[in-house]
Amino acid sequence: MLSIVFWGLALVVSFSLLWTRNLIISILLFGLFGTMTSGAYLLMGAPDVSFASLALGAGFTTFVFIISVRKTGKIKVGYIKTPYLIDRKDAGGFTGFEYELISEFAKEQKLDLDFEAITLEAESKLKRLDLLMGGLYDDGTHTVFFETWNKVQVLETRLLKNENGEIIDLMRYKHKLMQDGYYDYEYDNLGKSYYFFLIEKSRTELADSLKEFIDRTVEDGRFEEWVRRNLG
Amino acid sequence: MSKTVNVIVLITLLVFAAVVFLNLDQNRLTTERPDYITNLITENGSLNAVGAVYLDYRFYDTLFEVAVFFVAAFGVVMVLKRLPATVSEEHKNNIDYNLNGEAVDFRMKTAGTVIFFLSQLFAIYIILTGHLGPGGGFVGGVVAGTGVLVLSGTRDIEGIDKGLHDLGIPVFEKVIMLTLPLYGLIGLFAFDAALSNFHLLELTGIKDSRLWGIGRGELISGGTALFLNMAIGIKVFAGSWAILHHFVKHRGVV
Repeated sequence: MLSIVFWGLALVVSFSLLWTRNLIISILLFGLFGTMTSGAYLLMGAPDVSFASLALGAGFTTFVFIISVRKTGKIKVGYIKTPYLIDRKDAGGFTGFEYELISEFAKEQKLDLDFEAITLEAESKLKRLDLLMGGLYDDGTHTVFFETWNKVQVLETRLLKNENGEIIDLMRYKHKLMQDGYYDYEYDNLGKSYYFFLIEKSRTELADSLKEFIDRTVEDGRFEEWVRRNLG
Repeated sequence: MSKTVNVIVLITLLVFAAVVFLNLDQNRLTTERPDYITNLITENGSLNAVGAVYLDYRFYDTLFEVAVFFVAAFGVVMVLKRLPATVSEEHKNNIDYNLNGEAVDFRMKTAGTVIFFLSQLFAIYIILTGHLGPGGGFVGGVVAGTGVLVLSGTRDIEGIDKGLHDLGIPVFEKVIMLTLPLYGLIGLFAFDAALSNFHLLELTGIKDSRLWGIGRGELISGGTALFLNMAIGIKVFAGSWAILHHFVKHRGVV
């Protein structure tokens, strides 16, 4: 009769398995499921089956799954060099707000990142990438990406327009200002906009977990800290 | 070379399966339904009734279960071999660093060693007493294989693998896979059915079994259960270690 308790727990674990999005946690839950069924078998008078369930379900498969997940989680990131958001350091590696955010996300999700410099003009090349970043804003020109790929709002910004009709965002404007020290044109304020991460259209689960991650970092103050450190 | 041996093992299994299949009408398992409970006490002599069934009356199932595991390990190794190894060259053969080139914490190293020895002890115990209590070769082999994996986070994995090769584990694996069908054929020709167990009490005619240490509840009981559990244990250990070793080598430590 006591085995019903274990079966109940196994049922709870299996349902929570269905709703977890983090692979590592779902593997651990799977191991827990093996342990629960093992306890149930033991109380039902089948110690042999219980041993097998414990050794295989909770031990062996958990290890195999964890090892295989570790490197499957590799995302190819295409970035456009943007001051303050993602920029190459002189010593090697990257710096910037978006870089810090994405690398923290990857660390938490046990993903490996593969960076590649891109331009949005070479559309066909970008098809094999999973994520595009680097001060991407929707000015209505690259509709291919902004209408079909998953968009994740990262940071609020402003768009500015000069006399020639060129649109520029706040970060690049600020950088230009710091470098040149003068305005070459008059800029009109086009109003509020957002920087986006663009995620390949089939990987909705990646987009969802990234959104969830950003919401969480906003809540616990890490987001604020990255903004302060990189954007001042 | 090793590929050829694997193919030979598989062909042997298939031939064996054909022989047994053609002899099925002589097989008592299909012509009559033996009373397992009575037979267990009078002829097999295992304390673990489940063990007696899967090592004697239903050994056919067990044999092919082991074969499935063999094929699975074979397949995993064949696929993963083609992937590049993730071994960090920088800290190779340095026991302070693991395979990924990450420094290993000394607490983890100590705990890993302790868990390794405990798991091996436990595995040996449940393999040797598989016919007396719960356990048996299959579970014992998996426990032993997973126990070795615990070391791989803290030690040089190639060294472990080389040690196991020196012990002759891969050779044992193939030899056992060839021995088990032969063992089954002995049952077919010498006794009443294929894969029949050697019922020691009946064969030797020993009346006072306690005296010889081969009766019910003794270490040597249940016919050849001890031999079979050991064979299956080594087989499954080799298979599970081969799977885990190749996963770790080509995909990195956990």
